[in-house]
Amino acid sequence: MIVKFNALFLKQIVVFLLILLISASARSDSGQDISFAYLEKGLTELKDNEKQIALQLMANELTRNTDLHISIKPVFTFAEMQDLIQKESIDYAILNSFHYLNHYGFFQQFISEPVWGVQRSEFELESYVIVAQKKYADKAIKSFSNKQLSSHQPYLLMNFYLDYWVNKSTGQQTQQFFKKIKYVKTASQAVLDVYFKSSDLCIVPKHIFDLTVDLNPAILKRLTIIHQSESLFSPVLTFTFKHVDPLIKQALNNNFVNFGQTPRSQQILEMFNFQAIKPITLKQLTPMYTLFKNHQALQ
Amino acid sequence: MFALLVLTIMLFFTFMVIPMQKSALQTTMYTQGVTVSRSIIQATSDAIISKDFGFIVEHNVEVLKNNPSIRSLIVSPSKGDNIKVTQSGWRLLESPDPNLIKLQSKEIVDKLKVNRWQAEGYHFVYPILFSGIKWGWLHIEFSTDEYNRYINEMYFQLVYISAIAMTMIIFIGYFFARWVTRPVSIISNLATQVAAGNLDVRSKINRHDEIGALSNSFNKMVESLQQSKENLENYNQQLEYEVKIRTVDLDLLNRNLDKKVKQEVLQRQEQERLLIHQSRLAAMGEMIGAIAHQWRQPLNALSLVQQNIYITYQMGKLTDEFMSRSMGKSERLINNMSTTIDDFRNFFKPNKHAEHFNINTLLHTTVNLLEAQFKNHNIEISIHCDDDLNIKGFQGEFSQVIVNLLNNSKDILREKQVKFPKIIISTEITSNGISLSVHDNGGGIPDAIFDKIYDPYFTTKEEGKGTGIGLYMSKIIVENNMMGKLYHYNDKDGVTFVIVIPKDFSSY
Repeated sequence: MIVKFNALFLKQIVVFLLILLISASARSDSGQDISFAYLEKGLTELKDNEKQIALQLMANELTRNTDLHISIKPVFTFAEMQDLIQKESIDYAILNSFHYLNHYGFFQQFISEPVWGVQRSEFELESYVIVAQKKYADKAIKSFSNKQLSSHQPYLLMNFYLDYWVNKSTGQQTQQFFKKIKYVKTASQAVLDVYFKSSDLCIVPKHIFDLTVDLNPAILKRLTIIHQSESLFSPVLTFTFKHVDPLIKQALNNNFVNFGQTPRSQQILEMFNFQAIKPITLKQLTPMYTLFKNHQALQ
Repeated sequence: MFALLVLTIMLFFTFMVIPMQKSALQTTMYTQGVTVSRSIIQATSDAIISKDFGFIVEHNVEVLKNNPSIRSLIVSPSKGDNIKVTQSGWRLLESPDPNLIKLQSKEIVDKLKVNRWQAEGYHFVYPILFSGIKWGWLHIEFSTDEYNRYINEMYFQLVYISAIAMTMIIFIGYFFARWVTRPVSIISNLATQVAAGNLDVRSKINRHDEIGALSNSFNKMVESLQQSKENLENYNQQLEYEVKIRTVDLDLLNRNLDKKVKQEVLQRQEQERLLIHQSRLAAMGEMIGAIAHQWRQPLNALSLVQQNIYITYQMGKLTDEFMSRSMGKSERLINNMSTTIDDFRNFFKPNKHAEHFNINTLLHTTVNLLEAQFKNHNIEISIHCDDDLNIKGFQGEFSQVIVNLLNNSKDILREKQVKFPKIIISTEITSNGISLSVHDNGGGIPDAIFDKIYDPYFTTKEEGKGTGIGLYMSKIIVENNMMGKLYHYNDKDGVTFVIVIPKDFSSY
């Protein structure tokens, strides 16, 4: 499905909702304050100047029909984030899953269920595909040695998987195996690079490849998927910390569950290029963590 | 009329403005085309040079995502495949549409595709040049939905504004007309009430314009009317009082009126009777004078006969024959005188009933009675009358009229001492009846008294010689008793009196 994104329309909505936000903020002065932290370098789908507003809109929607007030706090380094978590200065944190995997032990001390994962495709958990030109179909991975691969750098989890796949299949590090890794501005551009023969292969989320093919089915005449991961990955996670009042947690959980049911929340999801926000148990994340551990073991 | 004028102005404004707006919108699209083209080329210049078509496609897909007004975009290099990006996807083309190739030139080209009513699309072609070297062209197909929407909105707004303007004009016109006419209507209603007699109404319109002035004038008029009405009522009361007094007087007068009328009639009758009597006496006096003249000659002759008898007797010559002859002569003279008396008596004998009489006979009899008197004054009387003319009436009264006319002529002929006095009596049959004229050559009646001669007691004769009732009575006799007419006129040598006897009173 193609998510059409109209910047002008978005701006109009942002301005409109900002006004609502200001008025809502004024109203909720007497309510309880909750803090949401996010890594400022994340959320690459949005422009830097829109992240704060977009997240505040999302938070506002999450506190709808409650007397809660969410303040959005940008955090510039993960160390800072850790510090805030340890000090219980923040109640919720929005993070790339790769950070969760990388600091799994740390998070286990502070987070509670459910974890809220974003869904970017029709499936709750994503898979990644390696796409190459058709002439490489049925070729072993070794045939891509010294080739150029295109990838979208901010997709940390995806690039971790690429490392895992190359390492596991070839015993080499990614940087060594490929002649060059070309980081492109968008994931779909990685597919187009292969299509236009700028690169030999690429790694993209499966739904991105599907989207690219939707835009030009002729792509399938030239390209093919040579590898697909299991559907294990949830790219962005929102953690609830243990110190959060259960009543507050319950109130927000209800709004998390219903997020996307209202036109406004649907618009916010479209703004982030998300399809939905779903509750994920820690157990559901375990296979992803297992893969990460295996990758670490291969290092 | 004013509404039509406004509508015409609006239509003219529409006719003038819409093409300008279309041109402005096309200029906007042109500017947008230039901006988008430059933006794309700037963003993808590196990719174009390095032939990073993936970036070019991805960027242009993103451009289209963020610009729904762009329907499609074709990156058309001078050599190689063309990349066409649409809102639904992208694809490679070996070459663009031949019609689009025609638009490719060194300059920017734009073309608005318009069907009958709506714009179908706006095609913008931007040449891609790097350091003056032509690389290709960028074709951008803009949606004209916005353009059409603006134009349609403008049409709608113009219609809307026209409708609003018309409605406002109608409303304002209606209320203005009402504002103008309502006070007039109120004043008209008040005027109707005033006309119906209610003078207590007043206009309460208090405005500082012509209507206000009209209202004030109306109130003043009503006040004036009320004042007049009060005056009239007072006058009426006074009048009624006076009428009552007059009515009492009139009642009294009415009661006496019959009596007075009867008295007046009696007096009048008595006066007329006296006049008739006077006139008859005058006529008799005239006739007695005539008889006296008539008798003078036979009396002289009789006296001479007696003197002859006496002289003859003294001379002793009185013979039987002489006596017989003298007695015969005396007897003839006495008979002649007796006849004159009879004629006189018959002349004045009152007629109790109207009867037919011959005019010629009556004229000759009358003239005979007067003849001696007239001959004494050398007045010649000539009668020109047909023998068979008859009149139905009172002969004596008619004779009196003739005598009056002849005596008046005689008096004036004597007074004027006319050298050859003459009177001509003539008759004539006319369409109205019989016309009898008595003409004298006495010089006529002066103008000063011409119309007064029939007035009673009007006379020009010396005191004691005329009563002034002759002509008055003559007119009464002819016009009242015989339904005829008596008039006169002056002619060359005198006056002519004309008696017209109507057919009903005449035969011939």
